[in-house]
Amino acid sequence: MRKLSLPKNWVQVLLLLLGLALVVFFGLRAGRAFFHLRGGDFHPEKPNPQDIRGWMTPAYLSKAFRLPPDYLYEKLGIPAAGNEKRSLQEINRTYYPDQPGYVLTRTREVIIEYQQERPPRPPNPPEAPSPP
Amino acid sequence: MTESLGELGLSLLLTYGAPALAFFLLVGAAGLPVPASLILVAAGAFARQEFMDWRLAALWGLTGVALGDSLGFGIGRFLTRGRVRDFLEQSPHWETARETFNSQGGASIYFSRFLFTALAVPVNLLAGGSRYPFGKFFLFMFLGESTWVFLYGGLGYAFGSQWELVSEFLSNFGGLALGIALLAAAIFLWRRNQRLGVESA
Repeated sequence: MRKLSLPKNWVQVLLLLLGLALVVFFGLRAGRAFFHLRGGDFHPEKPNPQDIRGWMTPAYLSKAFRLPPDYLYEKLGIPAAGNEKRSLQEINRTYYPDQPGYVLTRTREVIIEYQQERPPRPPNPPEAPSPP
Repeated sequence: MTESLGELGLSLLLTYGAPALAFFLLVGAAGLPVPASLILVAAGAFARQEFMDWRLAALWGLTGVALGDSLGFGIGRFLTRGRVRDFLEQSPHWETARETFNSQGGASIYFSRFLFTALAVPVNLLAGGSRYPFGKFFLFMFLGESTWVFLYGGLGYAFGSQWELVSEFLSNFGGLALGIALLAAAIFLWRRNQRLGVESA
């Protein structure tokens, strides 16, 4: 019976195969992420309510979306005290344990409603020069 | 438990600020599988949104990651003492690897901090295990980590609310860079063997 043995240059073959696999796998993913970056509507200062995630806290959302501090608590029907630094997921588990995902969905709705009620003010026009 | 480690990290970053950033960078550098790059990019974005002071975040982040890398170096040194050291020192390959690392380790330490990030923890262990001087390790490590903190954090700052997209790109780019490095190593070894074959013929 013929004895199985590794090829002489097995290290190069292993490195080559592993390298190719990584280049193909991560190259495709990096390319897709790059085209998302380039093709996206780029507004670093203007967060989108659809990007709100369960790990975000009311204190952060209040700052990022420029909401009055108590607005979100009032609309979610929860007290402000002790909830500023808790994530939306934790708040959901505490106050709405039977409705998973409710707080996240409601927060998105509340912020969209707030933005529609109070659209951001356009920038001030440049002041006309005063007559001499 | 429905939260992923990344979500938990981001939530803690929002709650505790820069000290949480230091904690995650420390444990990530020490070898635990936490999404340190994701948290660093997010910290940059939170600084853009004025939720965190960027100077404080950079200071805490650098302190955490430098401590974590030093811990990894110490673990490498601790694991290769006594009998393990005696066993390793019998091998000529270990001696060659140690000498190579001692002469060219600076570049490995520097580039593994921000370009080939998957290699950062093994490089820490190797540096500690191969008796690489700690002062030199700290210098190259600190330069590399400063590049990482300001590059990744800066990209998070630049992309602001769209930091998740840039984080996705960076995490895949790291894997792509590692793949290219492995291909380059394979080609280098193949050419070296060819040359040695010609010389011995």
